[in-house]
Amino acid sequence: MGSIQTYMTAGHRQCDDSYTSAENAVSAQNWSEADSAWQQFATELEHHLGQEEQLLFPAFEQQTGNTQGPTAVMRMEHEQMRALVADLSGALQARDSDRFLGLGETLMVLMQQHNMKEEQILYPMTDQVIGNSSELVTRLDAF
Amino acid sequence: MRTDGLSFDRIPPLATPLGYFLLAPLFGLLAALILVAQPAMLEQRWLGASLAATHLLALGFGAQIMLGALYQVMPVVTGQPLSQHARLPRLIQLLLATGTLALATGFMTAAPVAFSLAAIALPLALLLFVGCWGTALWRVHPLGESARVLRLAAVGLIGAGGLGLHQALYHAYPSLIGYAGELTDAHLLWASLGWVVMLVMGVSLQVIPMFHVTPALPRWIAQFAAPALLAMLFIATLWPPSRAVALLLSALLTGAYAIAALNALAARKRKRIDYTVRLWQLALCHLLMTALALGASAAGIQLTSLAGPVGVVFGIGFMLSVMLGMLQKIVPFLIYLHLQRACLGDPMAMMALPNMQDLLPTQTQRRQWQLQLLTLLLLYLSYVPGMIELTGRLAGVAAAANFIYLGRALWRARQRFYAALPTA
Repeated sequence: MGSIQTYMTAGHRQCDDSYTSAENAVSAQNWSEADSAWQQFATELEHHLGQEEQLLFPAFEQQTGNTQGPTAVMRMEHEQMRALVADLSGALQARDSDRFLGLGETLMVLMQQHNMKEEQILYPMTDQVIGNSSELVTRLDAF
Repeated sequence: MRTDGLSFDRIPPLATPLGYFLLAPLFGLLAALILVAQPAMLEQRWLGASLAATHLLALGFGAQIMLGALYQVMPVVTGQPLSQHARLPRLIQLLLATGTLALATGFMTAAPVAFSLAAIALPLALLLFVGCWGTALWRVHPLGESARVLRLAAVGLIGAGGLGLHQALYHAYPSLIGYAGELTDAHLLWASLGWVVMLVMGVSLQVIPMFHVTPALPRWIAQFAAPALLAMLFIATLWPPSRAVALLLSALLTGAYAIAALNALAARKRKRIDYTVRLWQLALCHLLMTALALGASAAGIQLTSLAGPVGVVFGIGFMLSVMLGMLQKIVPFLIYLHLQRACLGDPMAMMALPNMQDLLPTQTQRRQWQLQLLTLLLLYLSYVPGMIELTGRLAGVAAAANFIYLGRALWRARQRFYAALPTA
């Protein structure tokens, strides 16, 4: 298994791709495809957030002794994303493409800004502070 | 490992970047009005009006936007915010604005006192800003590709500012400071390639793949092209015999970056119309044209008559387009972020929040894009022989409309923020 950074970054890209499929389907008003792509995105995103909240962040906090620092902010941003995902699901159910695309742009930028902080700083730091990162990657993969 | 210096949550107060963004269009408007009054400036680099308008655009508009954006971008890209200490952002902005107005007045009136004022205010603004920015950049750890290039851009800014100070002192005290034409060219080179292009390069490494879901930009940009470009600027400035070769290589590096970024954008997965993407593409095509012109002039092809058009290609085609595009993403997002934080823990308030498109509607983005295209078209038409008096003035009017429309869009977004802010 590779580093935490490589493994978790791949998770971000997978979510980006699923979101993009959903957005493209909504733009084309192809609702059945949009429903399934959105479902896939929401599932992947929740899985990724769970990996972080239940395994990665606790490992980071344990090593650094800091529970109120970067991970607290990341957890807060996860809640912001979940709120937007719930709004987006509502817009999709209502077949309101304008609202979906407006909210989607917002989620995308929020998510990308969040990812940037993780990929540039938090993941490389976690790789450094955790002695055996491949063991953690194995657990993340089994999550 | 120390993690307490990391501050993901210390996003700047909205008023900091927005204050810079709201003031910038006024300087752009002033530059546009000078063009309306003196369209001949498009052909004559050394007219007072040309120099005044160029600096109003570069410092008054460009630097205001770039500094404002760095307050927002730094904590996101590097985890290190710029100091908000003791109203420092406002002081820097005040010095920058005062210095820019003084400099433009100096160029229009040739009054030494105006240049003296500029030679005090602008270096102070630069020192304070680079002090804050440099401290934050110094603390970045681990150092990502983007932060690496941003460090080079900080060096570029210092180079451009230092050379600019020499020019301002010459105008203020011509009997004491000798004129050196090659330093004027060096100032232009450092300001355009060392500062603007380097900064855009560093930021684009992050924002193009992230916001537009494109493949990552090639690693050689941060690892090779950016440091090599800065090295070429040093060589061209400090070792005149190698200047032509250094400029040719600078042009190649700049052009290669523009092509790589255009390629990444062409491979983007999101299919919806996005005016930020269009503005990026427009900007990068103009950067490629700038690189071609620079390369041709370094190779000895006489392009004296093209000095004006190249300035337009770089200043309006590249720099202004990038900034219009970035503002369309940064401003609504910043406002949304602040609103969302104000509503955390209140699901009902959260549901009612305006989203990014409500804050800066697609229609507004489309009009801004159309105004930018119109401005560029009229500017280019001005170079058709015999057209400059008419189309030059019209281009000035279009540019004025472009800046007014931007200011209006930013102001409306700000109003929507206050209207949506929970009252409790």
